[in-house]
Amino acid sequence: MSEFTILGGPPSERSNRTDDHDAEPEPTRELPPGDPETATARGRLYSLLALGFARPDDDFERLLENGEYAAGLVDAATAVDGAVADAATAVEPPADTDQVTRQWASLFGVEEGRSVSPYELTYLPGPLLTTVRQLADIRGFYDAFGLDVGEAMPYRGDHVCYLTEFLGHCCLREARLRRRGDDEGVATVVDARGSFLEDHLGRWFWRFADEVSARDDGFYASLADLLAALVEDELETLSLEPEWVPDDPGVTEWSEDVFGDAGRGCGGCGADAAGLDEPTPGSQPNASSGDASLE
Amino acid sequence: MIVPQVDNWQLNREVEFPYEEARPERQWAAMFDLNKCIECQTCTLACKTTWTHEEGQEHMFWNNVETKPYGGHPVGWDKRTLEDMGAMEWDGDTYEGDTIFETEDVDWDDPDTHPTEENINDDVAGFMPDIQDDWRYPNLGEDESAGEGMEPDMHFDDDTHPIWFFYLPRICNHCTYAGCAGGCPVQAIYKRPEDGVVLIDREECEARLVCNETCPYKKAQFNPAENISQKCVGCYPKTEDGRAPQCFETCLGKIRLHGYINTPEEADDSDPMEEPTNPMDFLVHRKEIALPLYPQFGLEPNVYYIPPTTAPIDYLEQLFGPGVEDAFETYRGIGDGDEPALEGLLNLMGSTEWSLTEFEVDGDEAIGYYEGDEVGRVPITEPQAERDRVEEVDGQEVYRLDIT
Repeated sequence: MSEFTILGGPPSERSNRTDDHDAEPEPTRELPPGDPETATARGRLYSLLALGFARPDDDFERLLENGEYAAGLVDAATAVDGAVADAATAVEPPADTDQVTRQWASLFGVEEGRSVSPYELTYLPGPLLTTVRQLADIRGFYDAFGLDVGEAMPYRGDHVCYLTEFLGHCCLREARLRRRGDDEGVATVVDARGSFLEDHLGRWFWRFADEVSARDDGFYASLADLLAALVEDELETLSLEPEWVPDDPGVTEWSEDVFGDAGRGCGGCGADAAGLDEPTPGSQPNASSGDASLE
Repeated sequence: MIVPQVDNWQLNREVEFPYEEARPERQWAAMFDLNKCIECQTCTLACKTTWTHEEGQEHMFWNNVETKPYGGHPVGWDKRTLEDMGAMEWDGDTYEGDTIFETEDVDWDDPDTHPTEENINDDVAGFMPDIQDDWRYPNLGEDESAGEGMEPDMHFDDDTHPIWFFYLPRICNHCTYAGCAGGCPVQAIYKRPEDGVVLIDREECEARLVCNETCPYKKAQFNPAENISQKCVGCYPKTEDGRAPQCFETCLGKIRLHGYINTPEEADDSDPMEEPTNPMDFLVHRKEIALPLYPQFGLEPNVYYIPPTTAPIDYLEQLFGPGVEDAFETYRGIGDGDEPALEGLLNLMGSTEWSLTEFEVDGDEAIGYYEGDEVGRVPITEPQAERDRVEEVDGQEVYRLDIT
């Protein structure tokens, strides 16, 4: 009789089994490069971009009218990087703020049949059955940081304004932790931001910017260019290599092999491509075993 | 020498198993009422979209619903194991045939004896599903009826119909003596002490595939993309919070009840008409209306079924053991108004997204609890609107009633 019992925690975590593996010491994490001021500036820039890609409301229109929004972008971007600052300078809100509302609706709103999707899932390869898992992953990031999508904002969790707002939140946390001298906290929060960029926004931001530029040549195109410049700077700073989404997100099916020669067209009836001449295996009731049979 | 090893109350005797008897603090359990399943497959899709939608999992259905007697996923899963086991005889409540670990007369008391990928075919009854052919037809035999030919003027007088089929939803049984765990040559499969959920440790799994063979229900399944085997996890992230698993919560027919079961010796024998009572113990031990699937496999499975009253008794006894007729009698008693507590409990099923750890009947209502908190309350008899007779209302009102 083996001393092993099937009752217990995961075998890989049981003490008498750790001898089998060469326990590798936890690598010491290096403090990511950066300083509190730049982190704050990045945080502000992400937050302003989140505001910019949300449906414009009265407050936002007021910020556009009095120039505070554009000034805030330039101010924050200047502290980040030259290319980002250039992109921020290029953002010019139109004189007629009503036009922003109309343009947002035309690009991203449902009322005119959205022409550019602000949602990540749209850009990912594969059918919804597989991409929906990414939505859960995104919500998992929010959840891990104690955040949730507010009821007042009726977008799905993968909307670009939520993604940027989350990244802004991470940057502001980083700034605060750096000021406190919490190196472990900084490493954790920067690592999370890097993972989020690598697994999510970093994969498709360039296609989003292309799509906006193809349908707009004003405020939103320049705002999408600024987002692209910022994310590119982030990828370089954090040495990230996201797996870019394909140019065309056309639905690709999974491995066809599992369906055999019959292909996907006929998965349920048991007939193969050659027809129904051969009897289907297993198409008998459980009649031949034991006393309690049908016969 | 063969030494009986573990106590299996479903077979009323000790059975052989490679490891010592060890029961969890409480055992995850479920009850499915087969008289209510319409095979809408909502459960299947709820599970699929939650757990098995990635590459390498195309063939996997941790929850599937198959038509009996002809359906099965993988193809012929039960028939092929039953054939391997030979005659299966019961003496009253005691099973006298061999279980899957007894069929080949292996001495499990010998410390050198343990299923390995080399000798598994010789040690344990059953078969290895072919990843190409056996998993290809999840709907094989769907809606195919058994029995006599259909005549134009036929109608069925008896409870058991001469032409029949029924739907059998299947998930992992989280067996007390899990065949997958008993077979695993690297001991990578375990039962959680807190709830008895059977899990595969993905860190330890070496893809020997023995569990795919020694689980007679074929619920341990190989993932070629990840090169590990995977199985139903009982939605433990939900049940830890008291929530019923995905396939339970989404069940349109409200056929499913999730809870926790005790052994007969430790069963809660309180009266739900008087005080909160464990619903699984009430159904399985007290009323004996819910029965395990293929108890003769010897694993003490923890999903219980109310058998479908339209199918032949001998076939159902092959699936659920000797308690079928008694279960039917009790089930009919519900319709006759003799079983208000059972009726209340069956009405509670599907009325809440919570697991039920207790229930009681209070007057004309049944109340469900999760660890003391009320999570469901339903009337035992559905209220019915009574309308005035036609001659007692004017014409306009009759018209209005007719079109609504």
